[in-house]
Amino acid sequence: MLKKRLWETDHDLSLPTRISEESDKWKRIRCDEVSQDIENSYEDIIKQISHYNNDETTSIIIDTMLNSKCCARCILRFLNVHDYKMYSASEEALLKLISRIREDVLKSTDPKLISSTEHSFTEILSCKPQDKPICITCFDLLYQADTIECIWPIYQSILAHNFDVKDFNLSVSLPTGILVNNHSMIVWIRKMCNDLKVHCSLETLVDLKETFKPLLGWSIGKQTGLVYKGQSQFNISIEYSHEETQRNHMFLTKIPSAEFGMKKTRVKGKHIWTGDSRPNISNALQKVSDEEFLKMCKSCPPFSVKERWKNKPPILEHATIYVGGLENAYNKFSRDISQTPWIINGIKLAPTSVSECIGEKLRELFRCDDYNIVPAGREDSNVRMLGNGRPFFMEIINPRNPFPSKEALNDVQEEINKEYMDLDLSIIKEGEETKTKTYSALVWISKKVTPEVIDEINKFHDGFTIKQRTPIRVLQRRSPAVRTKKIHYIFAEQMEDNFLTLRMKTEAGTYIKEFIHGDLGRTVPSLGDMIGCHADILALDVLEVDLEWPIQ
Amino acid sequence: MNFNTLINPVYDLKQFKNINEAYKKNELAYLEQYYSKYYFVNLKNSMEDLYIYQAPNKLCVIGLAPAHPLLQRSQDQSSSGHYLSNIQSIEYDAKVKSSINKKSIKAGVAGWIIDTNTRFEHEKELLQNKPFKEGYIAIIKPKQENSDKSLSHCFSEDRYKLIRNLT
Repeated sequence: MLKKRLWETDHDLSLPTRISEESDKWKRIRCDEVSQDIENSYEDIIKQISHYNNDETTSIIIDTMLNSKCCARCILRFLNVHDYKMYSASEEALLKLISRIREDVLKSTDPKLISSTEHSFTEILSCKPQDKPICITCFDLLYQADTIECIWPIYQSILAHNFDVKDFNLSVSLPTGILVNNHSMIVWIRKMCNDLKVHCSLETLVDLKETFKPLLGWSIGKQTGLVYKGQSQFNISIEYSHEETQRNHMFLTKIPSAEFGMKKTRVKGKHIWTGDSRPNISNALQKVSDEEFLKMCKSCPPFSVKERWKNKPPILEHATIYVGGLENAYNKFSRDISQTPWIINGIKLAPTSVSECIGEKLRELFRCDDYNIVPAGREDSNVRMLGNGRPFFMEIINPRNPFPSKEALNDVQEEINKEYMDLDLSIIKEGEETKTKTYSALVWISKKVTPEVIDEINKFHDGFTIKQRTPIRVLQRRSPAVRTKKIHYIFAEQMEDNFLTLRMKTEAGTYIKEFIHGDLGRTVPSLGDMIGCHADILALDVLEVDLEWPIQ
Repeated sequence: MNFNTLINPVYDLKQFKNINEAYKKNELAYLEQYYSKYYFVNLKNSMEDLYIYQAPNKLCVIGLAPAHPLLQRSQDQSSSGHYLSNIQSIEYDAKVKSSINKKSIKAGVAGWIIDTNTRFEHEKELLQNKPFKEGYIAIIKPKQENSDKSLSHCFSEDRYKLIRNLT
């Protein structure tokens, strides 16, 4: 398998810069000032969360999570706040909000309470970000979603590759440890409710990814000026990991009701475990009862963690762009160029190809990873493509510059035509519809060419049918079969000695070379059969091409 | 390239002069453009030699070599029938086996039969009349892709002529 080609392997990207100050890491990119909104919409928020949970449960959720030092945003998730804009408020504002909610629900459950003290940990959580304990339900991913540290790798990548885009969408992969830790927290909250003889109404919570993505997206948008939208052709993928908890689902294999099995397989000589995909873990967690979970899972409530999240280098990809079409065609005047790179066992059998001649120049213009030519049919290396040329389009893979100007494209076309005049390859812009293929061939026969021989051939100028068994030269990849093909038109012209030229119009799929030399009698009748001698083809040219557009 | 040559290509015969000379000397010389010729000398059954034409895609076409008894002047047409009925036995074998048994034919190269000459059904005479072209016997895909190994026991055309005392 060939290694995947990337733009950055053979071109320099702009150098990334590092975040200058340690303290800059924690700066937040605010998309809106929502803190004020929170004050104003407090009533709505309270109404919202009371849809999901009764007051007692709400207070237990808040207390339990504060006890575990979860971040304010995660607490909002467990309270089922679905207004994602709220999550971009500052930690202080959110902690204030949570405190206020806590006070209100405590009052409503125990009216005798005149005042309550703030939960002791709210102070810990509002301290300096670097010193805050790491949230066990998001590993600080949600807490830091809108900080410079989080968006920096993505921001630097966009600058380095210099993508010329206006919008983007995000694909995010979160650490697997999140799944067990969040479930563990739910189970623990339910246990707390049971212990306090409170009916626990906690059933759903807001998924971490659903709140993380908008925060990250809006922040990147603000930093770069790009618009975060789902239908964008430009995709940023980023994978997050957390080594400390990445195997915290293994205990599930010991719970029969989880139906969670893992297999050990060998990949490339290494032993790896499979079966622990995120959906598998999720499903297994659903099947386990709370009792079993409490018994078998050691980290319930989740252990505190020593490390924050880490990210893998983001992958930036623009959707494939298509250049060309029925109005674009190429001529190939050389008998030494293949259509696509021709490499067998590491050896290049043709010096270059149509695909490379056109593609390499387009690659510089579009700044893409790679390209593919999609032609309407093909011809051998030693066959010229004359006439109006063969229509084609190019697939441009992951272009950094997806929409160059028309002038730029015209310039590239001129450049290709100029450069390859020596190799005789040029692109023309004409197309005409035909349903057959027309060829011109130079033929040698084993007797002298006379007017009688020519007449013998031209007797059939109105056409005839031939039967072709699969040519020996392609038998290694095609099944033996007989194909009946129509020769619509044939015209021979005498040249000196044993040479003649043939012009033929044939049904698509006819093997011309085999018709002429007979392929050891597998094509009947062959040209030789028609004139009673042997024949061989010395040169072949395609004059016109039929336009069956490739079906996608 | 002007417009006229795009639709009326011109061919320069000078570059084909040598080919013309070579082809005129031997009307089957053109086959060498498409195949490498090898010869299998059958030491067990005297003189039942075969030619092996190998295409660039490694497929081998086998047929009767000049020294084969069936191609000698003394033979008449009917003997090809007997020989061809022997070919039936290799048609249905998945692998071509070598065997002393007269019912099967040593192919000269180990491998699988991809195709046999279907024209023999109605044109038995092709075997003896046009052995080197239309009268080929079968097409074989060699077990061993490396020709140095699969055809190491065979000879070039010149050596074969020496061995069998042919002109």
